[in-house]
Amino acid sequence: MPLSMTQKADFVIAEFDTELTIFNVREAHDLLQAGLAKLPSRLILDVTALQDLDSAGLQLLLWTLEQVHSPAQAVISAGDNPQFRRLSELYAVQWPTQFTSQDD
Amino acid sequence: MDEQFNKDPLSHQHFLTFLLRDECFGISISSVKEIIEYDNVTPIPLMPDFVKGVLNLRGDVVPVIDLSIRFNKSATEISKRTCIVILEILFEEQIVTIGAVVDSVSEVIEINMDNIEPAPTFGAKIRAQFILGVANVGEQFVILLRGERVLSLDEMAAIIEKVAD
Amino acid sequence: MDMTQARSLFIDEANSLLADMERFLLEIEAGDATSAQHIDAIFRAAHTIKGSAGLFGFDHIVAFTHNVESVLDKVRSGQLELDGELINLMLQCQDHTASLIRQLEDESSGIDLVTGTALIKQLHLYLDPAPVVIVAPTAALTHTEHWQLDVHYGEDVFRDGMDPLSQLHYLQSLGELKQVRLVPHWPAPAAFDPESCYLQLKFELASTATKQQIADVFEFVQDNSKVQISPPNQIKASLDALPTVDEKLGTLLVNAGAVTERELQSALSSQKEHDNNQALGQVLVDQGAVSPEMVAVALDKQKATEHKRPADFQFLKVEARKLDELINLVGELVTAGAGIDVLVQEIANEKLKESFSVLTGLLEQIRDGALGLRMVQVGESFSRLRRIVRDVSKELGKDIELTVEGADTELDKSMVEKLSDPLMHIVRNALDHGIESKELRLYKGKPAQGQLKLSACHEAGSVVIEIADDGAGLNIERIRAKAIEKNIISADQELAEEDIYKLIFAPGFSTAAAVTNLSGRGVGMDVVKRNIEELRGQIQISSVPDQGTVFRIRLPLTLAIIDGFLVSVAGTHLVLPLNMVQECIEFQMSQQDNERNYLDLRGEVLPFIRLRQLFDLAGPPQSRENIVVVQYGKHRAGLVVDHLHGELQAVIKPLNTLFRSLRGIGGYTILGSGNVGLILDIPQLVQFATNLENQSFVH
Repeated sequence: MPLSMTQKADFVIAEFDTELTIFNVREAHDLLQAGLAKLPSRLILDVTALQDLDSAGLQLLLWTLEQVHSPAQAVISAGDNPQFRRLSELYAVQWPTQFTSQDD
Repeated sequence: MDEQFNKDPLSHQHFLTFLLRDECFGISISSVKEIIEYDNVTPIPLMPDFVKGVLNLRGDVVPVIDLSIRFNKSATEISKRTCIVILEILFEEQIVTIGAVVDSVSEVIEINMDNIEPAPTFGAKIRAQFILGVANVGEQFVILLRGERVLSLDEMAAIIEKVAD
Repeated sequence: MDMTQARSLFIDEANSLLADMERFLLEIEAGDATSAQHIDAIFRAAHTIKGSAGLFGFDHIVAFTHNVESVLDKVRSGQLELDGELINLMLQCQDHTASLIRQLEDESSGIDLVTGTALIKQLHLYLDPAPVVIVAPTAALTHTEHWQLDVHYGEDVFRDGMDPLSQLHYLQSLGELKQVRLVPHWPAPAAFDPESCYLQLKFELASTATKQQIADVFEFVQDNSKVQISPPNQIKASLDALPTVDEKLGTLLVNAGAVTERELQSALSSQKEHDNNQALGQVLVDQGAVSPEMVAVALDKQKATEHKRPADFQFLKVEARKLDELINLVGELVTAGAGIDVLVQEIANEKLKESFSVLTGLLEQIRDGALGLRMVQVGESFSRLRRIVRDVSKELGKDIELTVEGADTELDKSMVEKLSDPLMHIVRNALDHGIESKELRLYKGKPAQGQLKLSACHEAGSVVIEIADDGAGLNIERIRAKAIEKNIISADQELAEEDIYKLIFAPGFSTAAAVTNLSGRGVGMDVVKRNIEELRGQIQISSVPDQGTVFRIRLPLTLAIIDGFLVSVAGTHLVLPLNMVQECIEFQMSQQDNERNYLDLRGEVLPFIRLRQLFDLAGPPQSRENIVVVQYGKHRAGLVVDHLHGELQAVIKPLNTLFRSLRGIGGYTILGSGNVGLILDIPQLVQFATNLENQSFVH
């Protein structure tokens, strides 16, 4: 199981396991798709535990964020995962980390 | 022929006069390149009599013509005074150098074109087409020659061709 | 070197390369050549023409020859066989290239696009459908201090086990990544496959690496990805700093690191694929591989290189005019030398004589060297004939084998040039009218394959060229009938066999019953004869019915200076070509009667010509005369002269127009004494004397 989806109140947390690579992106994708279908409003992609992330995994994260349409919102929660940070820096990817106020 | 002279814009022309068999001839100096002594003319075999041969003019080989024979007179007798007048004439769009043997060269005279009489139709023993006209200079008649006719290369070449065949 | 000059050099070079190409192709076809070397030479010819044409911006030539070169390259590498069909195509390509080159000289003639395109299509049949990365033209990239990279990954990158990450990691070891932008190209939501890659990565790289090094990073993804690497501006500087060596534009750009080998290949195949008339540089720019400025810098570099080519050419091209001037000067020098010789003999100072003889030796060497400069091998015009034989026999459906002998015989260049047309005409005639059709040959019991033999050799100071066929021979009756019909001779005129042959040289004569488009072009054999006579040559025909016809052309070796033998008759100086002089003998008093004109020379009959008589020179014969025995070809004759003066070098001056009809005299020379000497043309002289004698029989 590359990730587990938990619904808490008005948001869904997708908690990734240690690996998100080409070897499990399809499975992860399917799980995410299912979760997104019933997405209430907010999605938290929790990558704190990710140890093994490749470009296919990164692409899936980007894609997932892309699929969340306003008014729904999605953020990445990486904690202080150095692995993830390094990768993000390399690709110069800026992740959304905070939900914007609905009222703004 | 009279008309031709009237059209000539130059009223005076210079002529080189020379003797051929005691007759005085003149030729326009514009076609005269130089006058040299008769010497070292190499005969060319199988040529008509009027071709005396060729001459080395500073590296150029120049054919020499006996004008006297060309005028149906007897051949020029070579003497100390015999000269070769080197003429430059236009032939097939090229300047061709050719030498003419004369008994002696007299002088350069200026002739008023008005004083030139048309060529006599007979009596000069020279084909009328060779003659430009006759001028009375002092006590003497000078027969003025048409250089390009007298020395017409194609006509001479044609004569030579006949002889050679 | 100004452009016009360079351009005419190019045209010259291209023409000579094309001639080589043709010759080698024909030799391979004839099977008398070891192919590998020839194929190499053919390839190089096409390659060089392409390269040089590129320099001048003759892009249409580059585009065309590129195709030729590509096919030849495959032949060279053994992927294609140079069979008859391909040789045929290559010859057509050679023709077309020649016509393109001609068009440069004569701009009024148009470029034959139809032929060109048709040929390129045919060439392409030999080329594999090249795997081409289709690249949409993009706007030229802007250039900064850094390498610009734009990688649009193919969908299968992940599935193939590749990860852009590893590439970025590696690139970090080459330099510093900057301005990285990850640009995803998302598909429609339903079409998204998480295992497919939709990423495009744009970034800059501050690195001193070459383009090849950078491109190597993408080696494993480039098959299905689009990788653009644009060099930073400094590359231009490094391009300038490259050592000046002779290289193609592509190689130059690759070496400078501005283009990768693969981009070059891709551009080249794109050029091929699209029948592209664009220059390579333009294609590279369009592909975004390199900026226009870069190409300009490289081209400049290339041009500069061109000018600095090392002087290791086998040949040096010299303006013909300069050579003529040199030879004229050498002529004057020889004449002046002869003048000094006379003085040296007069002064009779041993030391002076000695140093003068050294000088004379050097003069001779200079003279021979200068004249040698003008000498070329006859083979050059023979190889052109090879092509004609091939094409014409194909056209006529005849099987004709051409053999060439003595192609290395040397002849004055101006003569070789003037000889080319007459030879072509004679050969065409032999192919068309001389050699029979296969059926007729078989019917006559001859081998189906006709033979045409071209040969050249030196023969006593002349060059003899023979064109021999084994065809039907000249038909005396037909020629006669035709000549009567054309009013060339009268019906009752009796003519010897040889004289009938000569009728074919009469203006407006043509024996072919059916005028084909080969020989029947209105240029008659009369022109051939005139051309040869203009070269002071002679042409003879011999023919045997059903066995063939031989045209024999005899030409003087050179037109400028000869080694002569000076004699005099009645004060006239005559120069005989030394190589024709065999010996000099005293003319015995007992032989001096006018009754007979031959003598017994050691048991052989020697006919002789009394020059005094023949030339009608003044004066009675000298009491002591000499006979100079001359030989030319198979003929031998004696010339009776007064005095023998010895050897000399004679600078030939052409006869004055006034004497153009003169027979037996080939020109003048000015002797050391300042006198004019007449140079005898022995064959003509003997012919003239023979004619005179024959006439005297008639009358």
